[in-house]
Amino acid sequence: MLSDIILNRFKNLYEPNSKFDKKIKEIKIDGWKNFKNHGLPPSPHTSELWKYTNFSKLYNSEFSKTSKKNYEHEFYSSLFSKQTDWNTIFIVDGFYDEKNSIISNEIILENAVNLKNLKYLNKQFGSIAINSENEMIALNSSLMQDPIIVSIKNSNKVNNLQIIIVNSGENFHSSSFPRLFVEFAPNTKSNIVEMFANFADNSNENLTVPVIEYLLGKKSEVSHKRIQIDHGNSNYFQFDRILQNEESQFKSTSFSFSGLLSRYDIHSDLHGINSYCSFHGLYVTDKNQHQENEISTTHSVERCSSDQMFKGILAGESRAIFSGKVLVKKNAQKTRAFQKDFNFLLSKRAEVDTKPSLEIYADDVECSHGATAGNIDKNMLFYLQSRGINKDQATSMLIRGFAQEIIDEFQDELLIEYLEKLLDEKIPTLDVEGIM
Amino acid sequence: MLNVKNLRVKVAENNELILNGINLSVKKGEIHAIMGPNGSGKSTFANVLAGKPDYEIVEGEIDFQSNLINDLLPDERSHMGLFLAFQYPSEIPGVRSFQMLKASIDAKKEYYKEKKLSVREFSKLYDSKVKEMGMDIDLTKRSLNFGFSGGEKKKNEILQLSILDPALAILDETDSGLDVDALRTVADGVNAMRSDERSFIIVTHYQRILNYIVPDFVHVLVDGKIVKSGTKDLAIDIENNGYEKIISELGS
Repeated sequence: MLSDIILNRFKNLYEPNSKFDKKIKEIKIDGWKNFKNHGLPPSPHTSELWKYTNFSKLYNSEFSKTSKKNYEHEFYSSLFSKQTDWNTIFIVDGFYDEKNSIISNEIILENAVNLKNLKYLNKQFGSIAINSENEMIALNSSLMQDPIIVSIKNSNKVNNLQIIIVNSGENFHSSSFPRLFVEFAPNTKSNIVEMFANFADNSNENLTVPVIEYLLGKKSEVSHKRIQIDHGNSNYFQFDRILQNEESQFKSTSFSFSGLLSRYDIHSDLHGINSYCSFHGLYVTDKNQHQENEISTTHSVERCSSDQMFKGILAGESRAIFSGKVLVKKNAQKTRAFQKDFNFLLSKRAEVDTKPSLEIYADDVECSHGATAGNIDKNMLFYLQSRGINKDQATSMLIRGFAQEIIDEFQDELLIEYLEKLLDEKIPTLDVEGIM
Repeated sequence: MLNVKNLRVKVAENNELILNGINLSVKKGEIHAIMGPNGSGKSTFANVLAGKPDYEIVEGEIDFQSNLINDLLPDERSHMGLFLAFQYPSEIPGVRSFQMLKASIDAKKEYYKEKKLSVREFSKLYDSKVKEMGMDIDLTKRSLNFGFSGGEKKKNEILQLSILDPALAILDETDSGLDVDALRTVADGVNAMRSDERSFIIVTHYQRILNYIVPDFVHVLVDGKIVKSGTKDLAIDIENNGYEKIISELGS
């Protein structure tokens, strides 16, 4: 059976290593059990969770184990890591790279592979990202190579942490399963930058499945920026899972350049009253790329607000999905929840499926959702052309302008400059044939 | 400056004929007003001069600065010194006024193979023009025309006009939707730009703006044709008697 073949492929990678902490081992075993029971959906449309995902290519792929290596520092120079005063966690091919990481003493970091009894391992590890919820989370749990536990202590100053996940491209058909658990103490303020960079050749197929659990203490505030710089023959599934206590805030902005198959899946459970989360993002797809954005919020208690706003730029024969969900539980009165998805289709062959959805069981709520998909506006184009700007440049300006609102949310000047440069290089290469 | 001969224009999409043989000659330094009832084709005429791709020239010639420009792109016309102040300026998300005008000036310099202005040089020019127009500097940092009031949009058009410094400026119903104060500011901006070298075409439904910007000639457009031409007195006549009188004279 096909599912057995797939299972056997991943089974080669599964080793509940005795080096791990007991709790981690339990999660690994539970993850494998869940993955074994469900596997990957045999084809699109058979599962609501993976309605648009075509796994058929993955079925035919064999992935190899990665090993922990020491890379020279030059390896990182092309990466964005100008924030030298930031705490930095490098995860290379699934392994924590201690040598190149920087951890100040405001932050406690435990690297689970080396420790049997993790002092800061929170009992909620594995309960924010749940194995039974999603096949890919289960796969990450069973195959995680080097889980990392981060604890942001009480501190009066703002904590800055970047988490840089790298596929080095040094391994052929590599697969890696980065796993982090980040806990924010009550009343802390933190800036988190999550970045994925893929250095594999275009032909070198690879699989990366990171899972990050965030636990926000009472009144903690997190500004979360996520950057995915992918390309080529890459399969990338990222899960951010957030649990928010009273009066906490999680403000997230994401920027995605896709590879061949890519899914960004973020969920927050607003679990303490007066908490707030916002998920904003931009996705850019071209050629035959496929990008899914699974964006969801659960309002578990009263008086919380959430806000989702994603924008897509689609060229070539690419396909993007925005699946925004807001679940308002029965007791979550006085909820405010807003959802929006805007898409810019630059090619007649590109396709976007956008399905914002609200599931509301409380009666005193204020919710709205909306989605649009459109081409280059002819009147805007004429306006810019009448000011002496030629059609190509005017088109680029309109695409950049559409993205600018999200780019500006990155706030940090260095990050904005970096993303603007990436976009300026990308836009002229996009396949915009057939729209004008 | 501008010679339009027997211009006949249709909508590209549905072949509807909008302009039906327009003849107009505008010399250096002159101000021409084009008036007409709704649907007479005056905005189409303004847009066709600027090169809007929605329209197709069936017959006739547009000669600008001794060049036939029928087939030129809107950006090429702009480089040659033609400017259209829009009736409904587009709101363009994420593109700031400063950024757009810098790109405009750069493109023009490139076209004429001249040295581009540095950001600092352009910034100086830009700031002085914003100040002259009495515009709120914060407005110019926002996305172009986004959240601008009707008056602010029109002022922003005149700001662009003064920075791009064209040989011929076409104002398409710039007065529509303006209160008296905004109208005066806009007119002051235009009057400050009057010179022997620059010409204007003012497209308007009402005579009101012509109290502030006094035209040398007034033309009345009906059904895509100029049916009557005269001096500023013609505009006053229209204000007093409406377009009906002129239209009924045509029939007789």
